[in-house]
Amino acid sequence: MLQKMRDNTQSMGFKILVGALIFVLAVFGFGAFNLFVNPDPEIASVNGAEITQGELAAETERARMRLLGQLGEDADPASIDMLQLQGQVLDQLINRRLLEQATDTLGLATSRARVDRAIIENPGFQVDGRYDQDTFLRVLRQFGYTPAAFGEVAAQDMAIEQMQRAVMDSAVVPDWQLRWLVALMQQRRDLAYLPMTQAHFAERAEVSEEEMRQHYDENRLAYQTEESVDVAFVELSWQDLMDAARADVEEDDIVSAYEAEKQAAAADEQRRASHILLRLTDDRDEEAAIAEARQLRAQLNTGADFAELAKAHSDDPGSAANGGDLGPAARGVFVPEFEEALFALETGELSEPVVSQFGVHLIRLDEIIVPTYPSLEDMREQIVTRLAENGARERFVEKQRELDGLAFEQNDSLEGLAESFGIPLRNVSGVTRGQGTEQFANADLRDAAFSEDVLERGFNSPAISYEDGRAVVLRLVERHLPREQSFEEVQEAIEQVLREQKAEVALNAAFTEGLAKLEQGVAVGEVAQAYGLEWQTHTLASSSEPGVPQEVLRAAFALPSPQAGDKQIGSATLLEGGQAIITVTRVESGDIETMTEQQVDGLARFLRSRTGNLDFSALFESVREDASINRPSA
Amino acid sequence: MSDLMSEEEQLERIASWWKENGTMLLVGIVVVVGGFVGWRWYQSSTQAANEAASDLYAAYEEAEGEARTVALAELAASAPGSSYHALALFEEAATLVQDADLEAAAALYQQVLDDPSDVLIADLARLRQASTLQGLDRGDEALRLLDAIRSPGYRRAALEMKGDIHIARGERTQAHTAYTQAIEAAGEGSQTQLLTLKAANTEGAEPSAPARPVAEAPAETEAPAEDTAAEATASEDGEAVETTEDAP
Repeated sequence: MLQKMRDNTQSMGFKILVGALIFVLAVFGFGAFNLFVNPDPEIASVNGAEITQGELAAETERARMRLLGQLGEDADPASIDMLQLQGQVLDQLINRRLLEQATDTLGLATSRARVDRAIIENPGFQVDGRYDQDTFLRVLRQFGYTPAAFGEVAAQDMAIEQMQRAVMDSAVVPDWQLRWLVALMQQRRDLAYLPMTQAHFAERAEVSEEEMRQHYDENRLAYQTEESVDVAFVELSWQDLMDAARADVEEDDIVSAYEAEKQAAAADEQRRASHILLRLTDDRDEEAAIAEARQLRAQLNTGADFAELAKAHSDDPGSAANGGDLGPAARGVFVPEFEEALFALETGELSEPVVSQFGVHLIRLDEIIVPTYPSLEDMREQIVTRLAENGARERFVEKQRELDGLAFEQNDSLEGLAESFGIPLRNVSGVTRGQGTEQFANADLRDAAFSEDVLERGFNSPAISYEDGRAVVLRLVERHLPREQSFEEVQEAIEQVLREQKAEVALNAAFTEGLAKLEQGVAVGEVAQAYGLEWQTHTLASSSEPGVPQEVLRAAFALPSPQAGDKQIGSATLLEGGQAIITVTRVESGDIETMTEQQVDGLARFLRSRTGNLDFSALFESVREDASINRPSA
Repeated sequence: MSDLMSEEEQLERIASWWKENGTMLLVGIVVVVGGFVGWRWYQSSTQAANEAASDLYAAYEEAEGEARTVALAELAASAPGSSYHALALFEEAATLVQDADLEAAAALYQQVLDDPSDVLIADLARLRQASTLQGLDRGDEALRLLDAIRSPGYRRAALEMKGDIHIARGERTQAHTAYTQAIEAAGEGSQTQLLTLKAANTEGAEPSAPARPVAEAPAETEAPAEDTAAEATASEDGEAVETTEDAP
C-alpha cells in the first residue's frame, strides 16, 4: 500500500498536479481556493455578480437590528416578519448591486483617504465629539463587518452617493418650462361636487320591524351572549411585605452597603487635562515629533506658557484654540496610551512625550475632580428602602410557594387563605375569555379562570404570578353560559346593521344613476334633489382649496377642461366613506406674473427636485432594464 | 504501468516530450501570467485614475467662486471626457440655466455630447440639452435630440420633455400624445401625478387665460382690448351656466 503510494508520487501525472498547485498558489495566493470551494451558495445574481445566502442572512440581520433600534426598547422581536424582511433586503441588495455596477460603468470611485476622513468625521464613531477607535470597532462588530470590508462598503456607498447627488442637484427647469408648469399647477377651476356619504344614506334608509324580526330569526346564533364567569380571588404582592422587610434591615448591612457605594463612586474621579498634539506627517516621523515634544517640554519647564504653546504648535484643532484644554474626563474616554500617562500624573505635572495613534502628545494634568459623596445619614433612607425591597422580594418568593401549597390543600374555599395570609378576599364579575376588569385585564388570569380545574371542577387555581411580583389565587363563583338574547334586547343593534346595509346599496345605486343622468344632460339641481343632496360649489378654486376634500380636488383637477358653456363630469371615492360626483365648468390657467418672487422660487425648487428625481431614476432604470437579474421568485 | 518502465526510459520520455511541447508550454505560461499581470495592472491603474478624478470632483464641489473655476479646469485637464468631468459640466450648466444664460449652458451640454464617457451620461445630456434648446427657440433640434435617446430607462423622461416642448410650441395634440405615451412608459410605482395632470390638461378645450386681478381693471382700456373682452365674456358664460343649472 505504502509502496504503491510512493510509486504514485513518482509518476508524471502527480508531478504535474503538484506543479500546477504551486503555480496557482504562487500567482493567486491562498484565496484562489475560494474559487474551487464555495461553501456559501448563491441566492441571486445581477449581471453575474452574485448575492450569496450568507450575505443575505447577514444583511437581513443588520436590517432587523436597525428596525428594532427604530421601534424602541419595548419592541417585540417576534413581531418582525422575517420572511418579508428578507424579501425586502434581497430587493435592496439587488438594487445595490445595480448601483455599484452603474458606478463601475461610469468609472466612479472613492479614494481610501476620503473614506478614512468620512469615518473619522462620522458622529456615530465619536465619543465627546472625537473619533474613537474602540467605538468604531464596537459598532462594526455589532453590524458584523471587518474594518476592511466596511471600508470597501463605505467607498462604494460614497461613490453611489456622489453619483446620485451630482445627477439630482444638476437638474434644470428653464423659464419656459416653469411657465407651463405654473399655468398648470396654479390653475383655478370652477367646480362643484355632490358628496354622497354613508351617513346621509343611513339616515334616509327605512327599516321596518318586520325586516328586523326576519334578520333576528335568521341570525339568532350571532346575537348570543358570550360565556362569562364571576370569580373570587386573593392577591399577594411583594409590596405588602415591605413593612416586615423594613423592620428586618440590620444596621451592619446599611453601613456596609453605604461604604461599597461610596467606594464605587470614588473610582469615577475625573481629570481635567491639557495637551499639545504633534501629528506625524511626511516631513515629521515619530522620532522627530518626540524630539520636538522634548523641546517644547523644556520650554515649558523654563516658564513658557502652556496655553500659548498649545495654540502655536498643537495639531489638535479642537483643543488648541482653548490653550490645549480637553476638559474633565473619566477613565475610558481617551485612548489607552493617553489615559495611562494622564492617570499617572500629579496635579500640575507635565508628562514625557506620549505616543498614540494620533501622534505625539505632551500632557499636563490640571485638576483631579473627586465627586463628593453624601453622608450616611443623607443616604440612609434610600439604602434602607433598597435593602428592604430586596428582602421583600425574597420573602415574596417564599410566600408565593406557601400560598400555592395552601390553595391546593384547601381547594374548596379561599376564606382560609385570605385569613392566614391577612389579605382581603375580593370578587370580580362578568369576566369573559377575551375581556375582564381590574386584575382580569391580564390574559393569564383570564385563562386560569376558564381552566378546566376552576371552571368544571370548581377547585382553587394555583398561585398564578403575573406582572412584577404579584400572585393571585382564584376560584369560580358563578358561570354564565352563552344564551340567546330576546329580540327586544338586540333590536337596536339589528337596526344599525340593517341601516348600514341599506345605505350601502342606496348609495351605490344613487351614484351610478346620478352619473348617468348628468351624462344624459339632466340638470344638476334635479340630480341632487332626487336624493335629498346638495351641491357644494366653489368658484375659481385652487388645487389646494381649503374646505374641499383632497380626493375631490385631485379628481377635479385631473379632468380635461370643458368647452365654454359645457361641463366635465367626474367622480371620486371619499375618504370618509361614500362617493362624490364632480363637475368642472371652467378652467383658468395659472399666471406667473401674479405670484410673489418667493412663491416662484419655492415652486422652481420643487420642480428642480422633481426633475432631479426623474433624471436619476431614468439612469437607474436604464441600468436595471439592461441587467440580467436572477432571483428566486417571491 | 510506470512500474514496468526503467528510470532511464522514463527520463528519456520526459526529455522527448519536453522537446516537443516545452516551448509551447513556456509560451503558454508566459502568456497566461503576462495577461493576468497586465489585466491587474490595467485594473488598478484605471481604479487609481477614477479615484483621482473623484477627488478632483469632490474638491470642485466644495470650492466656491474663483476656486471653483480653477478646480473645474484642473478636472478638465487631468480627466477630460470622464464621467466626473461630465458631472461637473452638468453642475456648471445648471447654474447657468438658473441665471438664464441658456446659450452658455447649451455649449457645456454640447461639450459633454461631443465626448461622452458612457451612453447613460450622453442620454442625460441630450435630455437636458433639449430643454435648453427649446428655451433658445430651437425646438426642432430639441425634438430630434430627444428622439436620439436610446437608454430604456430614459423613455418616460424624454417623452414628458417632448410633451412640454410641444406645448410650448402650441401643439396641444402632439403634446397630449407624448404625455399619454409617457404615462405608459412610466414604471410601476413611479410618481405620475403631475404627468397625469399634464395629460389631462392637454385634452379638451384650452383653458382660459387668467383674468387680471380686479385692481387692474381700470387699465383695461389701455390693454389690447380684444383678448380681455373675450375672457370676460367667457368667464361670465361659465358662471351663468352654473347658476341656472344649480337653481333647485
